[in-house]
Amino acid sequence: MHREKTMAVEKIDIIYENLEQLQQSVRSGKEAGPIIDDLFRFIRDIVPFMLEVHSLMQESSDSIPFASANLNTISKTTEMATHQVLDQLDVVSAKLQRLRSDLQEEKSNQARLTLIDEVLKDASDIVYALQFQDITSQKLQHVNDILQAIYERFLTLFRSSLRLRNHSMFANGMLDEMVQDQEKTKEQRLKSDFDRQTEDEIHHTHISQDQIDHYFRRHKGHI
Amino acid sequence: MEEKRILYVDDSPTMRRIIHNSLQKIGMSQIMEAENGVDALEILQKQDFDMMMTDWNMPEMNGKELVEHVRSIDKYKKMPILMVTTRGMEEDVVTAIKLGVNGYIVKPFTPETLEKKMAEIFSQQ
Repeated sequence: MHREKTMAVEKIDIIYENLEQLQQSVRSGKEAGPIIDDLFRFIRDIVPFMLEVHSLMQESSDSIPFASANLNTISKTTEMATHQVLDQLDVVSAKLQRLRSDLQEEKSNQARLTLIDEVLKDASDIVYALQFQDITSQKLQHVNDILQAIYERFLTLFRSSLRLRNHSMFANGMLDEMVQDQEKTKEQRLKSDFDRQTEDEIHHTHISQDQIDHYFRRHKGHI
Repeated sequence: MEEKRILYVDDSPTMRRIIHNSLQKIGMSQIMEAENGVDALEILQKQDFDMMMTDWNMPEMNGKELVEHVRSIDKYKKMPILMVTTRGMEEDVVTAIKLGVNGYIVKPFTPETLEKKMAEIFSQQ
């Protein structure tokens, strides 16, 4: 993957070099022949490169909806499993409460009552441990939002690459430039949308509950 | 603890269930639930509450926006609000204090933390 990226960067660098040389040739007023040769060489370079990018974009954008659907399935499955455990804990707790009430009538049952209280506390701890479902669900949702944002950008790039491919290099040169300008503006807008969508909604806990309480006491009267 | 009317706002059905059970265990039986800020505001217009507990990250209207709206309603200017959230950054706590939140609990929390925090908030009223 890293090697592919490096190759792509190298190709871009070569294309830029070609362009610069071409520009310099035009400026220095050399004859048109070498310029046109350079231009054809440049087109030969860029077409396979664009096709490669185009194919990569298509493959990647095709797989994102599947990844997104999988994340949703994981979220739903953990939620269903969590609720099944909660249902069972409700049943166990209700039975223990009933047993506790029955035993409470006789004083000799103190040891059994203590044991029941311990089991009830264990059940309550399990209930609270199931908060993990909400926390993981929020994290999955965040990953999903990022995937969606990337997918939308891929689609936009895909559309613009199709449009550019249909232009002839000479007659539509000016039009290309205009399209690129438009794309640039659109790109900037999408970039800000992308940044907003991928902004980290889930802040990891860096401070403890005690620190939060302390902070509240310290600042409540001052803000 | 004295019985109070509580509105709990959270888009997670799991959290709503956990909090509901916990509140019942500490003697609260008048609990209403809402999935997001918009639903919560509708409920607050129809009924009176002694306390609102809310999550932060929610669709439609998040907890921060909800608290802003609630604090702009005259009868709820002083209603205790407890934020229950996964957001545990210092800047989030400061934002909550600035909004007028009375307490802040970070998920995951223990039943003891919830009970202690509620007792603390009601004792200040």
